[in-house]
Amino acid sequence: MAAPTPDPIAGVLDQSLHAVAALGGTLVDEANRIGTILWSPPRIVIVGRLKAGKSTLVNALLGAPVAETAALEATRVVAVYQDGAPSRAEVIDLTGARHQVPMVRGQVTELPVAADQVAYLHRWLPSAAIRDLTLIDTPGLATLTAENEAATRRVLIDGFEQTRTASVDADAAVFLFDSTPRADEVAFLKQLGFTPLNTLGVLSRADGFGEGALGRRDPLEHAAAHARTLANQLADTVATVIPISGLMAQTSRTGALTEADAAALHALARLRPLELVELLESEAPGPVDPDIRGRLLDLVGEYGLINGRALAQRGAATLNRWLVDRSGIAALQQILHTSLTQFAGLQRANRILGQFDQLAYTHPAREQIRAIAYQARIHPALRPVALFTDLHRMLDADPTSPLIGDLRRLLVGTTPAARLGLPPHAPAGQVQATAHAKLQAAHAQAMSTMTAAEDGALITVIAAYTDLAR
Amino acid sequence: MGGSVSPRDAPVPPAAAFVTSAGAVLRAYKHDGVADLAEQKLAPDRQVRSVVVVGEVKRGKSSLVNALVGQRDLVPVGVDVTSTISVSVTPQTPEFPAGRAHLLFPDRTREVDVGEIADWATVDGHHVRDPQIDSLPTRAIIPIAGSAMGKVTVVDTPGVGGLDPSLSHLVVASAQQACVVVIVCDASSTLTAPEMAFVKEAGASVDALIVAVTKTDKNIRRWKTIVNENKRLLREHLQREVTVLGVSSVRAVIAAGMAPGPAREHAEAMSGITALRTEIHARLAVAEQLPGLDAVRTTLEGLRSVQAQVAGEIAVIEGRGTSVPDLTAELERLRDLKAHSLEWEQYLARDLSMIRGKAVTDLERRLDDIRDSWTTRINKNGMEVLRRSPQKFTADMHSDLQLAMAGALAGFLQLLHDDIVAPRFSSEVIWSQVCDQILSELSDRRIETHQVGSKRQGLFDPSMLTMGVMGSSMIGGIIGLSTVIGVGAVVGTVWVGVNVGFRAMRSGKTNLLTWLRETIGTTKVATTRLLDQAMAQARPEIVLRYRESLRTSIAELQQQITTTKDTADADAAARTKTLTRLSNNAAIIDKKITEANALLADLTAARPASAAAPATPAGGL
Repeated sequence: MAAPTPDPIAGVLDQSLHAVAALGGTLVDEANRIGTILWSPPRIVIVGRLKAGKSTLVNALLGAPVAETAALEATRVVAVYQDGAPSRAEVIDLTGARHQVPMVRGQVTELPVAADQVAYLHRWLPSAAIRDLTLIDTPGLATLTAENEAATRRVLIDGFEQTRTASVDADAAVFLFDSTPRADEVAFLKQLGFTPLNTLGVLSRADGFGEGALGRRDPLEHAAAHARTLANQLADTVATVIPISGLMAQTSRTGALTEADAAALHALARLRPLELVELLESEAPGPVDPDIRGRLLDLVGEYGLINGRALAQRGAATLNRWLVDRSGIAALQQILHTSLTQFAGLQRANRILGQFDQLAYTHPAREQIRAIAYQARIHPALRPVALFTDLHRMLDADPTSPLIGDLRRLLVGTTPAARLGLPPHAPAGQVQATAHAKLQAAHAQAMSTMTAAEDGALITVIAAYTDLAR
Repeated sequence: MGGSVSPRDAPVPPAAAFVTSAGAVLRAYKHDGVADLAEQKLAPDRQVRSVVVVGEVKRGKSSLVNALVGQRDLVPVGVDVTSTISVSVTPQTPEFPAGRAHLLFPDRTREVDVGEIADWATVDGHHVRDPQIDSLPTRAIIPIAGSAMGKVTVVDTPGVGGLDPSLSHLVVASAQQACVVVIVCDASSTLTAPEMAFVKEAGASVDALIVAVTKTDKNIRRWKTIVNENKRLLREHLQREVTVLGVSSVRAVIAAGMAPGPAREHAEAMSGITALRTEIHARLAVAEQLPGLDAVRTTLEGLRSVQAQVAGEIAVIEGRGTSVPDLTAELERLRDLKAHSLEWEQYLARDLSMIRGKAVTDLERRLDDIRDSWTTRINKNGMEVLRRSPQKFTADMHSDLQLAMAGALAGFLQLLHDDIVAPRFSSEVIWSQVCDQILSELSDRRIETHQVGSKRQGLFDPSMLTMGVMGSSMIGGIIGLSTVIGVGAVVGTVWVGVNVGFRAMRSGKTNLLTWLRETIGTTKVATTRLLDQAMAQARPEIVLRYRESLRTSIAELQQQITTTKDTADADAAARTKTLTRLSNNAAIIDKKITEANALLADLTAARPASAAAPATPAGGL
């Protein structure tokens, strides 16, 4: 990853906030409040069906077994994980009041408020993994208990309408599913108001995919192939789909694996897969004690056990590296910290501009605030924010419009050629000519727009192509 | 796998042995009709035995079906594969050899390669996705050789639409059909609310229901806990024990691919598939006794009539029997009946038209129920849901209509038996002959109604309704009819093909509702016509049998009068000799009757016990 460069978007917004604060009165507090949003890391919500493996994934990402999958209460409420010391937790109830949560050895054991009164659990822990993003774990969708789904909807949908203090607005989403997401899950996801650029699909339990560890096809490779198919199918919902083995990732990232485990695993190396499975199912004595066998299963799962045995001879460190490598967690983290965070930043900037607008409605100094917001909006550094906002609007208004393709290309492309949909090494002349052509086409289209969203988007696109045509 | 399917097949079942030995007695007294009927009832293929695999989407139903029959790539499975229709895996027959599959379309059947089934019967199937196609199969049948389930048909139900509560009514045990339902659950979590509701729905038949927890190989650490937890949940909610078994379909098919021998048997046993097969066979074994029971009862009836006949003869010889004048008076009465048979026939006609009226009313009620429930369903779910899987809804509607028609015909036959034949004829043989005759006649018939909704050409398919009676050879492929098969449907069942318009599904709601109304109307007309055919067939059958029985009764009486006169003239020695012969015969018959009663007691007593415990000791010999 590149060295931390000052974010030009944040710079512009910060200047605007200072300008607002300079108007004095209550606006100083308001500017500070909005500033908190600006300077805290983007919030990434993890959405999926119950038992899709959300908490396991959170643990793997945090590098600590914090989201206890076994403790029921923790998975039944929304939990927000943020970098911070000391390690502590608070419950925010439905009225917005905060309650300290007693912790026993770093674990939440009991909630001070009844689960149905909890808005969310706020958890701080010192972790480099979440320094530049905040994770929000949700209870899970389409579950047996109506209560759980209400909790997820409250935070994600009603949260926008609720008082600002209690809302848990998210800037990006990680959407977890095994095999193929159901239609109702995709529909729910679309309601959440993210664009495909800041939504990441995760195919969980990749180590048990298809026929599983005993099948004819390696489940991880099978899952990878299936993830590519799904990414195409869900192109209008997610940026891409990444296969993950949550369990293998969790174990390797939380440092749970010991040399003794590696040795025990290797001791099982000579059994054939079916024999190994039979031994694992039984309480019979074997090369490894039954309770150690159980521990190994809990740590690395069926796939890890069957396929990690030979490698275990080389010790826990090698085995751990293999687990990291096979789990897919590195690829997930890479996307999480680059493109997802980048587009989450755009959504957050958009949210902040929305806050300016809201202030303009409620505050007497509305003319000045409006002027400040307008200046920020038209600043060239905020062009990506404008493109992103228009993409969002167009997806709502007319998801089949070809303009969406233009907006996506302009946002995702990292070079002028890529932004125009040209091959990476296209000559400068071609880039310029294409930009001109597209600019003219956009001008022509602007004569006959169908919706207000299209109107706005064309203005932004024309500005972007004008830049590129220079 | 050898021919031995269940431990029961090895020794000759006591019922069969009895029916054969008592049959000889019946035949000696010229009661061949009864003896034949009893043997027919024992015939192994007469009872259709099946196991239906049900469950929610993506639970591994199709994989379990493959594991049960022991053939890895038979029914299409895969992460992207969701079945849209029921697929029956049946043992091959000369008519339906292994290697080819049969697709049942509304108006025809089509033979395809087994490999092509996925194109026709899965959500992303090549033909299923084709918007141009007008008609898709509603069922598929795959005959196979060497099924690990023996002669039991294994039915895979569609994954589309989730767990269908109506399937719980399939669990049934009768002399005609035995069906076990296996509900497939996941080893990663306990029973879901719909699964629990399904088991509850099965009600009293829950004994023939097995819960299979699949994917144990992916949940080695948890599955045993889940199995026990499921047992506990079922006990809590139902206050009964339900069998819950863990199975790994992958391990089972890997094992099936191994060379025969102890290693394979061990691997199969460890996968859990052997225990599941054993449980299924044990449940079916309960019903296996029912045909025997039926056959023994028929034989007993025949024996009783022979007993009465012999007793009469003895009485005559002993000189304390009915006097010649009495017999002559009875003869006169019968001759009188014969003379007035026209009157009898008129009463018959009256009774027949009465039961026709009852049957038609019943049919109308059934069809109105279907119309109401589908109207509600269409209004409630909306077109989106229907359009997403038209094949599944077509098959559902198809089976609803089929059930209504089969139900109406079975009800008609039941009435024919109860109100017409039983009061007029004492013998069960007559009924079976009349019924066979009607059904065999109907099975050659085919009623076709063209052009449902022809007024709206372009919007509607020129739909066609076809129906008839299907021979028993295909019954194995049909599920859902078991609940309506009554006393009548012994050799076949009603088959109906409704070309449920896919185009109607695609067009708007109003059109679909109109189409539904018209289809129901046409079904009404067509079924009524079918009933009229059955009536037309039944009437001369019954009249002829009546005349025939009068004729034989008169001949018998005349014979008896002659014997009585002869005996009076015979000498004492000859009389003693005849008496001894008759007494010996009477003793043999009495012994057979005692044997039959003991056997019946034994077989009926074994039933409740075997329902609870899978390994029933074979009924006492």
